[in-house]
Amino acid sequence: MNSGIDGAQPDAGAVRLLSLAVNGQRQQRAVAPDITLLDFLREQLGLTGSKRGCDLGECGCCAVLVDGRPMLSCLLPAADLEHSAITTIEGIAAGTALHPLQQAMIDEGAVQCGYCTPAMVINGVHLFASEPRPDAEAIRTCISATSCRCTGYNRIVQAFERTAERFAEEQP
Amino acid sequence: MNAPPARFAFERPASLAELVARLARLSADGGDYALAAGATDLMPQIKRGVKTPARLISLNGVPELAGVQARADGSHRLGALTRLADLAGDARLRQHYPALCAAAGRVASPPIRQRASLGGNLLVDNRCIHINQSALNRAVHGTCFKAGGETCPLVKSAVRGRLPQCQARFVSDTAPVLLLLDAVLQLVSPRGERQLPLSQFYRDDGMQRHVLASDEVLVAIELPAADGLRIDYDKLTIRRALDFPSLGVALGVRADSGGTLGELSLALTGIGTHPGCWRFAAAAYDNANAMLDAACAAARESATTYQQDFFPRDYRKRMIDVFIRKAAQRLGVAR
Repeated sequence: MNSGIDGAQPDAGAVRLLSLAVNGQRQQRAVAPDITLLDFLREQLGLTGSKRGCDLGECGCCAVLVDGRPMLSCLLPAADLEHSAITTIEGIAAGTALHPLQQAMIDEGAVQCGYCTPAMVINGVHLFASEPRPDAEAIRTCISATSCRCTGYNRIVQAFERTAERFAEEQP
Repeated sequence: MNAPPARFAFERPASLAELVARLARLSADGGDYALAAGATDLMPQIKRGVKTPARLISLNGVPELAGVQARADGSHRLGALTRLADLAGDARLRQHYPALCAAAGRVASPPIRQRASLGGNLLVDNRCIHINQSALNRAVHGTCFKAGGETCPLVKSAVRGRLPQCQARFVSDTAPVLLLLDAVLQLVSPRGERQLPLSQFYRDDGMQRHVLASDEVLVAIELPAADGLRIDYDKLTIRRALDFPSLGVALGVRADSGGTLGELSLALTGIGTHPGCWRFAAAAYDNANAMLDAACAAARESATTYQQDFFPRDYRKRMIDVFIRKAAQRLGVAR
């Protein structure tokens, strides 16, 4: 499409225009070819809820939803996400109404330093959207994606269990 | 304000024809590029400076690489871009190839499986504690062939260019299961298309890991029907999530027409430079226990372990027997 007569793409190394949706808002920005989605969100859009931990795909703290699926934004070239819909932790609550999992994280004392919390919630939102009553194994698999160095994970598991109970009460 | 120069240029061809034309052009120019689907293996290596491609070519816009097709005869075609989470969760595929879906569901962590592809898992780079480290760590502990150096810290007698020059471990979780399933790879390059059995794909080296040409693309994985073949896959890891297998064992049992054990098959990952694969016909052995003993002996003898992993090499080697026999128990074979 943008190939020259000899098939070369002289613009491949240059800044490119990227258009995508972030938390329901359409964004059109110039991005470097090697910038990750995490850097794009934090540095160019000022959305600092997604955290940079290891920056290597191990700690999981940078998780966001890409077209509804949790992915690690530190591993995604932003230029590869043309026309995608991104949801960050900033887009999970509806105004001041928290997602039930967010409320449960507060109620159960599952938040200490808070660095892993956005990613725990992002993975959990996807879990509860696909499986409103996850069993203990599904909960543990879900949070296995994200390292927490404060809580010992028990409070986080309890918050997930509380959320599952709440969904069960709402739709018995 | 001057931004630092980009680490790589980025391209996203929109069809297989466009991709192959680009690869023909780029490889004629000496091609310093990397193909990326999920990029979950590539990006950490770029960030650590282990890989420095000048150009990243995304496969995510190529529709010919996507999708799963089931045929009436029970065979399947899995596009190389099939995401591991989709493979692990596909109800129809789980009926046909439950061990493949289970192995895909054991790779890395859930959000990585949402992005990482099956083709990428077959091509995942070999790992060694001497190179898969931070730049600082590599600088302190010296270099290796794969990092551009002139010695291998594991094998003092190794010579650059003489295979196996590098003992980095093969770590794909899906490859051993696909080997037992007799998977065939569909490969496309500027020279045309070829079908290559997975069993002929890998090489005994941690650097020159396979026979895929630099301008060749893995398009799809063809799987015959798995009638009568049951497979168990399990892996040795420190953590239950994230870790590459320090040892992975796929054990297959195929019933003959009478329903009794006809063939035992075994494939290993995580321990050598490439996946070992063996088959044992029941006719050649007195009973199932004798077949299992033969499988354990073959795997143990072939496994040349070096200290390229955090587990002690002797421990990993001894675990081969343990994993094979536990898999046999789960499959209901002997002991």
